[in-house]
Amino acid sequence: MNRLSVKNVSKSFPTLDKSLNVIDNISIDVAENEIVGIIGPSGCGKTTLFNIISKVLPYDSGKITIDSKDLDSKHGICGYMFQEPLLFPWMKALQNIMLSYEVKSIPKEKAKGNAISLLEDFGLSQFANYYPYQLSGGMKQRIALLRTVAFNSKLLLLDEPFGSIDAITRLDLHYYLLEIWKKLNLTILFTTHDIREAILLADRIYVLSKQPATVVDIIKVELDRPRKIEQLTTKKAVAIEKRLIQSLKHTQ
Amino acid sequence: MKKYITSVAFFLLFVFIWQIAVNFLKIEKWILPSPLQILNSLLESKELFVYHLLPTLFEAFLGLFISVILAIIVALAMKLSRLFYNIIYPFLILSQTIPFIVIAPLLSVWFGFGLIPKVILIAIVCFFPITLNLFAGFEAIDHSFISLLDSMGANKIKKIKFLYWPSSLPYFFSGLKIAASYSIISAVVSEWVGTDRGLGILLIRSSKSYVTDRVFATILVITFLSILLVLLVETLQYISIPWSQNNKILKRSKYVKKNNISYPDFYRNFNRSLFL
Repeated sequence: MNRLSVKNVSKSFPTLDKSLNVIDNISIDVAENEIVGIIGPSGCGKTTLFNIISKVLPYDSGKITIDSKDLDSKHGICGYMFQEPLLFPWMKALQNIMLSYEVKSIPKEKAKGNAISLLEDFGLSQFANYYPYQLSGGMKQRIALLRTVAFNSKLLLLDEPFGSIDAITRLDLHYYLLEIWKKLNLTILFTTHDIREAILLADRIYVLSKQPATVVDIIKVELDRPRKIEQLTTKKAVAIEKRLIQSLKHTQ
Repeated sequence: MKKYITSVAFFLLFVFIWQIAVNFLKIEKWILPSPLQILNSLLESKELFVYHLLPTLFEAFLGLFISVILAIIVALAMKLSRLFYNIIYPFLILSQTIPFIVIAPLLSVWFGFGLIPKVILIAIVCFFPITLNLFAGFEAIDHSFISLLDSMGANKIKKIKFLYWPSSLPYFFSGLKIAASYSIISAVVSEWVGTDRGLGILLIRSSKSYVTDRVFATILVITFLSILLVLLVETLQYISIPWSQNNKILKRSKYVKKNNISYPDFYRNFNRSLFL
């Protein structure tokens, strides 16, 4: 069954003289427990698409369902992680995670218990009482990831999740994400403009064109899990990388 | 501390010259008292100053308290309702051009000579800096945080609780600091119109009876109270905003990068040094 289904969705923004078509008839499916990557030139409308799925922005036409329920119903909200960690500077790591529960009107005591056990499960309990300014970039991103999971552990939208992180820390974060994904049976849709990141993480990769965004190619990544960085040099992976580069060339 | 040394030295030099000049030129006490005479007057009538200081301080606190509550309500209403903002904002700015001292006699006509007209004047004067600063804080919020809360389906009350209020606290306190320094002065001015106890009436009486050294001493007390109140607000700010003790932190983080210290160890030591 599809956890998320995006069917023929279009979106345009009004400008001064005409309307700017940002997303043109896009269809994306994400099955339960699947990791799907979206790759495309920057500014192609990936973030707009995520804003639509998470109900930050309305859309013009098409249909979006989460667990077969229409997005317009109250159930449609998913865990959305932005490009920046966006941890609230006035909250300690623990309180930042508690926020996800408190927004859903879960009582404070229970929210605290949930947040503490989440931090413990994923090895960050020693950072519970740090303010964001005391944390490194990678650690901030980890906390932000846990906050997103705390909000909704069924469907995660990750918008260029590790774009601002240096390459060495990024690999740690990839493994960290995959560990959480496996333990909690997450379903993940993420965007990236890093080809290797897409191959390392995803089961399937959608290639989007330049604005207005349309789906140019869908590539299956049939690499064994658990994934390791070394697999990126295997013949299979290299073939996928070549095809991705080809598809991305067509988008220019 | 080092940076204050020159200004303290300059001040002491000024006081010294003042003292010498008064002695040397034999200026009458009722025209210009010397610093020593002022100090003497202050110590001589300690009880008198305490007697007049208490109601002034009480009025200032009460007025400040009321203005804080009003300011929070109005600033929030301006943020939440565009219509309210459109109606009220021009008047807020315009009202800044009114010298509020001139309405003190009016308030006295309407409310008599008791506590009420004084507290109203102080509240009006203190209300504007807090409201404008708090509203500026609301407007300065990073829009990404609003999108994040939108994506979580947070309602307005939760947005205020988790985002608007905490992120505007530094603005709120800079407004409160200005208001705190205004509050004592407004209390003194409001007492000029009429009362039987307060630093304002002490000032007027002393000057009318040419006890000039006491006038200076009263001014000294007023200044001291204002500084005390501002320091109190600064302390409150420091306690309420533990996440932005920024200067020290910035220096420290450069130190961390340079010496490649791992974060947990570093902050364990750092926190210790912060609290001991």
